[in-house]
Amino acid sequence: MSVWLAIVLLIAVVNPARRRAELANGTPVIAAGAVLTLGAVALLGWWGNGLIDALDISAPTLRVGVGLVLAVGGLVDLVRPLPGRGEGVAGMGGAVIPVFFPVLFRPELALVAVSVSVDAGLGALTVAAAIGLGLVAVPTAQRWARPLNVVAATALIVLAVDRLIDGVFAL
Amino acid sequence: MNQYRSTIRGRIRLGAITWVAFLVGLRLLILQPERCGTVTAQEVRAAALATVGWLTVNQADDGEWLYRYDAPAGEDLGGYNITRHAGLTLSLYQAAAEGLADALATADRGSSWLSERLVEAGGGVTVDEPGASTVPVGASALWAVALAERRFLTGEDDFDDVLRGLGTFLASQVEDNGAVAERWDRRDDAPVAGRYSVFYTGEAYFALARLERVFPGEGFGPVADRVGHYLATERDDAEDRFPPVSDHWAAYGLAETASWRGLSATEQEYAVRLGEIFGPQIRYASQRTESWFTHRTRGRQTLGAGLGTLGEGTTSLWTITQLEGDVGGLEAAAERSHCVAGLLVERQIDAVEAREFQDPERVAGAWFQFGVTQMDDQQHTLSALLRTLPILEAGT
Repeated sequence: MSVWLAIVLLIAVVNPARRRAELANGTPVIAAGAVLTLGAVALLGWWGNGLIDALDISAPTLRVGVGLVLAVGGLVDLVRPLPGRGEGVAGMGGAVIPVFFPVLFRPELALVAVSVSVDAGLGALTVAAAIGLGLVAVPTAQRWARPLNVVAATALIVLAVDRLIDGVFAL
Repeated sequence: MNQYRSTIRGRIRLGAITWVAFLVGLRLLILQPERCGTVTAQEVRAAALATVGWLTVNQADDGEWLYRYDAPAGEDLGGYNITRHAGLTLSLYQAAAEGLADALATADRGSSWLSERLVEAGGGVTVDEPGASTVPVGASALWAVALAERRFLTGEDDFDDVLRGLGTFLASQVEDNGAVAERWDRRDDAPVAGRYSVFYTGEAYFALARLERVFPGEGFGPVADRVGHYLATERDDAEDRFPPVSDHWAAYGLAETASWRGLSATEQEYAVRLGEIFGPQIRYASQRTESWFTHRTRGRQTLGAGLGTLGEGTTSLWTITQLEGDVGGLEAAAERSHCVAGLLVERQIDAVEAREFQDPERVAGAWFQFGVTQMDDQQHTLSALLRTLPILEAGT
């Protein structure tokens, strides 16, 4: 997996426009939550090979899992309307709840983080995740949220198929 | 305030439920553990030795082996297959090459049985199937490989005339485009037109490629190349085979060819494609256990023979990497071969387990599915185990 593919994959799985739509917090709080999430993602990536060894899973099987999960996730993001802004802890505490959890640090992101780390390395994962999560902190005009969501969800489905094929047909 | 709290609490609860459901569902349905285990060269050698023991004990004086056996019923189910007999003879010469006791004598008895069935065919000789009007080419191909293995091991040239005769016969079965006729018609002394086997083509390819190594420049190499090209470029479409054939014999043939010349780009691509066929089967097989749950989510464990062929395939791909470097990621063949060996060692019936059956000698060292073992369960597993030894010893 190239760094470029990792970047596109992380942007698609984060789906910045959709995540931003869920958050009522200000940009500094979202940025802090994104940094927190980046830390968790990097930690998972650092543990990646050890984790899949502990679970007795090979990298290709993990890719198959990523492909299946992202295909479903992409379809759901494509057909479901953008979520409304939910409540959260006020002030900088909002960086933890809801920005870090449950909005940004999602299971599909964690799964992709492990897979990208195993296939492309921790460096590639960190760069890609920083870009994907960083985009959540960029304010998006309301009128762009829906089309950007469609683009990200579509890209996610395409990348899911790519991961699936790469995983299934690997030696 | 209460509504505010419940909203936060609700989001956290939903997030937590999502995580738990996701992780549990993922583990149970998609990311099931691949139970390859870890094996050492010593364990693999011991498993191979136990299989040689089974083959020695269960061979009749004339060289024929017990073909099919129901262990719980203690019943010999009969039947026989000359191609598998020749394949088993090859596996035993491979075992002899690894220095396993009794393997050479047992293999030689297998060869004696085959030599009694030689008849002239196609300008050379073939192993006849008494009573049949047409004869399959597989036995001749695998016996040729086996005798060449014996020649490498012993340095003896006793069988050279037979080897050349088998090679000449095999070449006569090869069509202009490289397709290999499945059977030879005794009455017409000619190939049966329009019939092709899933595996005999790869077996003929392996045999002809090996004969080029044994007798360089005597004409077997170009015929092998023609068959190899057909396998790599046409076979699946021409013979309407879908999904593409999981052809461990073709992998053997490619590895054999790589021993006397570099593989072409087309052949290398074919090797990579074979890896793409072997890999997923091994990962899937490694997720199967005898539990109720995996029976329903992954199916039952595969035959020993089936698993063994995958190991033969990946070990052949690994051999290619030793000769040609890491072609298209084929180095992963080492890890997959480890996995197959681990599964085979774990699933083999050992001497202690065998005591639970009526006739332990017919059980110990063999692989069973639904209580039944067949000769080729030992053939392919033995070869796969033996060919994993150099990988383990190389520390890859």
